[in-house]
Amino acid sequence: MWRASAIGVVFGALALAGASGAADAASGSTPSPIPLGASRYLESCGGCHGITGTSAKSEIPVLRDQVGRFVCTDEGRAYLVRLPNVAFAAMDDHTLAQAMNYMVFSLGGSSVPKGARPYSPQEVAALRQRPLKATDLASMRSSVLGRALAACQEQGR
Amino acid sequence: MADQKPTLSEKMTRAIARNSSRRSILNRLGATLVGAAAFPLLPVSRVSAQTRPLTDFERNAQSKDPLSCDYWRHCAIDGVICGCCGGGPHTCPPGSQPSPTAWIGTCLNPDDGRAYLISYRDCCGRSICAPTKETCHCTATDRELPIYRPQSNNDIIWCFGDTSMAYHCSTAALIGLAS
Repeated sequence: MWRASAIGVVFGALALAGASGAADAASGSTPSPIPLGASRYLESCGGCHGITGTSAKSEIPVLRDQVGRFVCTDEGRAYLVRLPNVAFAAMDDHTLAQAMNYMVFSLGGSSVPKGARPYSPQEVAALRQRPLKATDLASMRSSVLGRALAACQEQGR
Repeated sequence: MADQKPTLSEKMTRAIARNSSRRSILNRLGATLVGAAAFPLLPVSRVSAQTRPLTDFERNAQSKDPLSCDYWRHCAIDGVICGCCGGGPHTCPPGSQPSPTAWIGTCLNPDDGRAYLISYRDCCGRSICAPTKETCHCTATDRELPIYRPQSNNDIIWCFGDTSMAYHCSTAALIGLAS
């Protein structure tokens, strides 16, 4: 049993980097930087939500192939930015917009409705001025997502 | 009557004029100006060109000994280095499991002066590892925020989502080059 846990645990983090070992190799070529949106997602959100958008499923919402459904409604689209951890993230509007677009459109994958437009820095700037104040975020999330899923169905998603 | 013999200064001026031309002076001046403008483009180390001052950790970081708190990847680790406990930078020691959640930091590599994302994933399910080597117990704080911003604080035990909240040690896996 212990052998499996000791040997089998090579974290998924390395899969993203590709040339990750290069940083320690004196003669290795330098890897390309992770794009800004992905880099800031990883640093500010990826610890809990997971490097690939999924982690502890029973406690933390899965983003991968799921989060795109929120943007089927304007309410759901706004909800994602108005979440306290997003609205108060230590990023300027431009960087936050890129992190949101990576999260929704890259990690969201197949869940993103056709024709959905990316977040602009101006849109993010306006939304984060109105952070959510609900004390029961889980209940609110359920309602917002329910309406978004219904809209996705109507739109043929 | 003025003396018709050339003065010393006149002799020197004439000698310079004979041995140089306006073109050669312009050539040298032009080369100096272009060279000065191009110099900052040369691919030299940019460690000293950081836009922010180095942290205490970054000033003293080394890249040779991964079993020491001052190893560059450990700029934001808070706990015991798993490599000191039978694991590695991205493997858990026998009998412990990696948490599904992690704390992600950004560390400066002293070898190339660039910032890399590092995932500090705790190994859980066993009581805390207690190596005798003092430099295995770390409390680095680079880019950490206060506890009221828990997603950016490394004081908490990042074992949530696992079957056990018992903390054993922390890994420091390299994710990639930060933007």
